[in-house]
Amino acid sequence: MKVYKTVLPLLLCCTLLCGCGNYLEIEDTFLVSGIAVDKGEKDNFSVTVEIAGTESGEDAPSRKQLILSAEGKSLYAALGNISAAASRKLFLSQTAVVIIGEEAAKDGLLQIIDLAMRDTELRITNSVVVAKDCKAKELLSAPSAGETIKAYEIKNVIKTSAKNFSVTPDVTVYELINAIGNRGIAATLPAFSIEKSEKMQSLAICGTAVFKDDKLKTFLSTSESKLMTMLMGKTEETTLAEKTGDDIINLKVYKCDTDVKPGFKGENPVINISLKLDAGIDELTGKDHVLSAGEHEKIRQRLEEKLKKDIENFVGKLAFETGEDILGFGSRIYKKYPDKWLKFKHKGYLKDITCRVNVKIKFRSTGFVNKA
Amino acid sequence: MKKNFSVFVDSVGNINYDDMTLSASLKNNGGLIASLFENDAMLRKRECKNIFNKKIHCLLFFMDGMAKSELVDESIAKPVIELPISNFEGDVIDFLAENVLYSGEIKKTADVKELAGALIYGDTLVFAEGSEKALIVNSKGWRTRSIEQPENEKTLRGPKEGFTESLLMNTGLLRRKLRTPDLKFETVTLGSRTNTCVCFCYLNSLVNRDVLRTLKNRINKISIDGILDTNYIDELIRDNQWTPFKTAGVTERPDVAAARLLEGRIAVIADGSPSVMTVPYLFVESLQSGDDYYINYYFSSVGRLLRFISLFITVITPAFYIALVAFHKEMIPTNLALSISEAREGVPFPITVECILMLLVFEILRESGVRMPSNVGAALSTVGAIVIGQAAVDAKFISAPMVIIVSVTGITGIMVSKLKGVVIVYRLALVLLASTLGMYGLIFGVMIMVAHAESLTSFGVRYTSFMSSGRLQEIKDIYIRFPWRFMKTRPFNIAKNIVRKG
Repeated sequence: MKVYKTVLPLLLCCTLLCGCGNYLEIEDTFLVSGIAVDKGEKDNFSVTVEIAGTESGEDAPSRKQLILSAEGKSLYAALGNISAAASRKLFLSQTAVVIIGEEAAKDGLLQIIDLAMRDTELRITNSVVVAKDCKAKELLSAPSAGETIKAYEIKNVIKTSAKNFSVTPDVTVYELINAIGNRGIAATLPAFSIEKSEKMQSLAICGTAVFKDDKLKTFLSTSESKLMTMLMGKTEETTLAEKTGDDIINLKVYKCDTDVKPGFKGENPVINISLKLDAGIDELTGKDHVLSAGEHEKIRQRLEEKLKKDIENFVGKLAFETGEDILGFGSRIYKKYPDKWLKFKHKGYLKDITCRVNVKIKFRSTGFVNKA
Repeated sequence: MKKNFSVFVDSVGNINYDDMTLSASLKNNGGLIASLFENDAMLRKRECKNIFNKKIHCLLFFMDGMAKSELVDESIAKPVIELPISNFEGDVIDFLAENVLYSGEIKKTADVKELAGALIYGDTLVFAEGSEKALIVNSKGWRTRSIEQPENEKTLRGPKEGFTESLLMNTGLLRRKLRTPDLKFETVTLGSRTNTCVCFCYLNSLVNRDVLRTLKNRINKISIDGILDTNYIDELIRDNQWTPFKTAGVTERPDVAAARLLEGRIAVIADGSPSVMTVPYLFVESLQSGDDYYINYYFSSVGRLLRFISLFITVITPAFYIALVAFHKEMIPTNLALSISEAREGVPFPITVECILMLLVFEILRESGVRMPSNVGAALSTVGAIVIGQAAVDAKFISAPMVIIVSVTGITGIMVSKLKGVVIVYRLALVLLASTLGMYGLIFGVMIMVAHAESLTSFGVRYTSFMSSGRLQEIKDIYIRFPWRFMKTRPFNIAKNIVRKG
């Protein structure tokens, strides 16, 4: 009896006072796959959600997207307006991406990202992208090149391109918040646009959006984005091309080791960048098809020179045109020489940082098959 | 002087043997037996006199169907009638026992209760004119089932024989496995009406004395009118009355029983049942199989791990699925979430009701599979697979994922069939907890269950012994089976002498 008197109240506490209280079966919800935020016409924000659903087909059910849209003073209010009109509760935990329209991004990211960070349903690992030259919601209704659910297509494109081409790194909500909050590094986001050709329209990465604090400042092109990814040390695999006259060399980079070492020369900081690339020649057109050992070496040197020049140009452009420290030079120097950095730090500091670039390319699996 | 049977019986139906005494008169004694077995058409009575000596006048009683009539004819009636007896000294009954009857087992007694018991059990009673005692002569010879492979404990390799309903045959099967005088058989008679002979077998040098004493004490306290199977004994003497876990093992295989005796356990055999109970019984034995030791240890280790995993799956899966779909939708991978959402579209019942219904249907199918005559098996599988699976999903009665969940639950449940009772009760409890409290309820329920199992004992031995042991020697036969070369000790809290090999 004594056991019951002590154990039973504990058991009752465990079952009556605790537990998960959000019983809602999965088919009574709308599984939101993507959220697109644009500047509203009548109100502050226009929010569009993409809902992933299925349609019973002949044999197997197929995917179907449902797009709902509403405006509101804040993101939360707009989502609330969508919910009010929707027949089921919006369920945000399966969201894959948050798309921010160019106009909305220019007004500032924080008021958009705040909900994504605070809300319990939204994940802080969602990817964030910026829509370039179009509204965010247009990306969600772009014609399909594979996936019916656009949000998943965007997520896939980011992942594949990050892995195979290293165009621009995937940025999640919490990484974005960190970058915005961190002095000495500027936030970047992948930029998407709708590529229109004669026969097809499709989503594609078109570079990188660069932010000043939380406001969109400019875009980098795809090739600049590649260099940026390389200098950030986030390149996994990528391709490099070099063209002189008719001669086109396409290089497949298997591995890229980036080493960025800050230092000081007197009062002024110096950044030593050294890149080590493992690469193979994938394509070589032009007149000199024969790859002798000497030719091999010449091509390597040419490519090293080219890459070095590109990087120097890119860093120069960042310093003198863009003016945003997206590579985080400031934060790197601060971590190593905090005192000197605090003394040196001033507006537009990038211009006063000397940058030395050193590139080494090693050919792998080139010239293996050689009928001498 | 034939009395009416009702004279011997008291108001509750117990037979009072105290008033019955044998006399020197053959007629009186014969009348006593006849009235005790009044209205028993199977009682056979045979009067015989020696052809050389008229003083030898005997009355034989035996039960048709229990006694072997050739034995009665050849070794009892024939010598009494035909042997040339001239003169003898002393009591006629002693003379018969020593000089006339051929039977190997003869007992002299004046106790009517003992005589009645022996007569019922197939022995022949011999009364003689002028003697106040009678002889019990062994003539048991009833029909029994032959030794077959047990249906419920089939193995791929190893011994195929199984226990039968005959106690003597069963003890013989055990003795053939363990040919040592160290093997002890002790018997008690249980059940006021069935008078079932119950035998405990153990290896004297290995058995844990505490367990043996506890078992004997508890068995002696049993008061019931009938014991038809060892499960009656199990339920009457178990440590914890209300737990769904079995705290006594059951086997129909002599090799399994012998292996358990070799680990210091005690086997309890009840006459009339092929199920032999072994105590103490540990949780891990529910997941072991006799087969494990007869096949390659890699293979049997995989099998045993699968049984552990199956137990986990069969208890948890339905509850886990409910918790995910109703509470934790964010934990489902997106593609799966979409598929589940699509499949559940238009299903009329809440997921808990759907799950309990399907589990019920599966249990009904399983139970009907056990009870049905074997020639309608094909019909059942058709009904089960096609009608309930395919048609119900097409008709949107239930969702396809639930059919998968219940099938997985069912199949894995069959793998751990020794824990059937536990699994059914716990699975349902977890389903209810998960559908009210979500994943919290599931985890909470599992914790309570584990705590409960940990608190159990089987005849004083901890039920979950060795499951969480840190000592290597003790876990060599738990989750995987080590080769015999490495299993050097017996379970230390069961056997008295734990060294199995040097």
